[in-house]
Amino acid sequence: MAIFICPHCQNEDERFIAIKNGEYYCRRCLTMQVKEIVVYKKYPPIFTQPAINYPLTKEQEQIAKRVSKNYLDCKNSLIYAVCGAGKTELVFDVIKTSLSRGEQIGFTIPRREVVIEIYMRLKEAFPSIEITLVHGGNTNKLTGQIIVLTTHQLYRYKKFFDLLVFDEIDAFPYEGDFVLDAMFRQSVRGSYVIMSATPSKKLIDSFKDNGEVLTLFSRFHHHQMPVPKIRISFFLLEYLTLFLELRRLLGLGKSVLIFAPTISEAETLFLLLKHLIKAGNLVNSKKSDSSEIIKDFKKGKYRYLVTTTVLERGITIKGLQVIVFHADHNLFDDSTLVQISGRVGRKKDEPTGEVIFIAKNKTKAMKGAINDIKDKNTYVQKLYEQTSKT
Amino acid sequence: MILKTKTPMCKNCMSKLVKPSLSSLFSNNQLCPACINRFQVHFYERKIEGVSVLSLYLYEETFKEALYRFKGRGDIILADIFLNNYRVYLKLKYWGNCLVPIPSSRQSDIERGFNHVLEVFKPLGLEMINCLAKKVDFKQSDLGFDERQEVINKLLVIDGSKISGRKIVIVDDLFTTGATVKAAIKLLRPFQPKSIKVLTLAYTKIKGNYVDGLEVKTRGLKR
Repeated sequence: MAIFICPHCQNEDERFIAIKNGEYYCRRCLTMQVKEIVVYKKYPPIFTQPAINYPLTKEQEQIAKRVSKNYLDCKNSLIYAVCGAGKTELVFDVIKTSLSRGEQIGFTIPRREVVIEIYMRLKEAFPSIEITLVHGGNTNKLTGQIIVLTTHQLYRYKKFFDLLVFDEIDAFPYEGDFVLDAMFRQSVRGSYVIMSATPSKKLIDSFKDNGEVLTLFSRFHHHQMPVPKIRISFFLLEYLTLFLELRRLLGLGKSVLIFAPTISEAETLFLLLKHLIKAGNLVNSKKSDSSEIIKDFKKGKYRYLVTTTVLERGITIKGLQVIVFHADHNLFDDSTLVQISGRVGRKKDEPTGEVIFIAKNKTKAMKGAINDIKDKNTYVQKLYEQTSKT
Repeated sequence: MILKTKTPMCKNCMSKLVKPSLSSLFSNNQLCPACINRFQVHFYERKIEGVSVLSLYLYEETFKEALYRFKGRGDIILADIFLNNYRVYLKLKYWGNCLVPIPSSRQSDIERGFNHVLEVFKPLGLEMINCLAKKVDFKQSDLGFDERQEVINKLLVIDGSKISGRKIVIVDDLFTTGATVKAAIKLLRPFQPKSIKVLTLAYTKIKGNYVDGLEVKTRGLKR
């Protein structure tokens, strides 16, 4: 029998319960206890076609239609799609369905950098709809027919979204956070669509009773996902290997993203590299001008960037190659390595590329990531062999 | 106001406290080492109106978040984390002094459920004399620089004779422009306390490294 159940986040864990003036209060969700909730309202039905840049592939169409059907049947969906499968476009159809019913829609993602990109994509696809962007630094306007928000902001909305699309559910800081999860569940009035390239087994299992798991393992341009190559080096030779590989890839005229496990390792790496190879830069979560540097990198001002996992997701650059330095570090788990590898070959006109892991030894995570990618490639290969026979 | 705990937890980040090492026996074990390191302890001392003003912390991200939880969201558990490490030092430094708290907004006290200035400085075990009060209920933090300088018109002294001949320390949570502290000093001086000192939990850095035109000299008590 619990002493106290928090009315906001349902926490029962006594470690987070305190007493003030004789009354219990919950310390876990204290900063997420909303003072003024946003009031739900219905909209007039709107019939519109989403504007897209490329037509959807047959697989994408199938999934999109299936998600819409689930939504109409009040079923939740989990889209398990690989990096570069074109996830955002997959939900355009269900958004269209929801708009035709005059309903309240939300699109949420844990990372602030990516939420702005999603907002732009949705505005392009649905130009006539009122779309609002809500994140930590932008909370003046909280209403709109489609609200694009970081998951941190979900606490403002209670039983609000008829349709909530939740992308990258496995990304930090959402992953494993009790309070954010409670806030997510409480914000949904209708059904939700979760999207992830690396969903946990627990998440997949939770859909078995109520909902459907849809998989999309082929990239939208139908090329295989690049399989990472491992370069084993010892001690200081790691730096030499990195330098040689970087020089080789730059010599081929490609852009390179170098991942380091921690901010200090990234800084050390960049300090060493910047004198040897010009036209590079450094980004991390602590640097304020990171978004500017990323923009410049996309324009081609820099030829390589040294970064931490802050760029493991969401970024799309043509002809990008990836080197993961110190890939055997324990911060690089298999999902992270899969996400990082997914940065390569995302553009239709440059669907291939190289992913290089530089490490002292092969870790379980490294082997797991490589096997995961190989498995999905094989699965897709077999699928095509089957369909091309018929 | 007690927290029920089965396993010891860091009061700030609420992560599990690992087994204490030898060094942590002499230090505050209510915060985890990561949190202790994140706070910027400066012990910044300067003179305002001829009075020594000591601020323990720099008002930066970690302190700001903790103060927001404590003051803005009423998390009473955080009341003793700010002075815990320095209680002995402060008790010695202000031996024989009594504390005069800067009055907080009454409305906020009601919403929060407690007066945050009182709760933070209570652990020092020094006598508190509440002889300062607000004429009108207001929040200094809502105001801009020029408006803040007007604060002297909004404060008054009640029963000022209580501080005559006493050694007093004016205490507050935050020193921003110093307008409130200056006003308090000016209002209390006429009652002839034996000495006046000021202690605030934190100070805000404005205009780079200089506050009030004086260079920041910080002591190396940072952990």
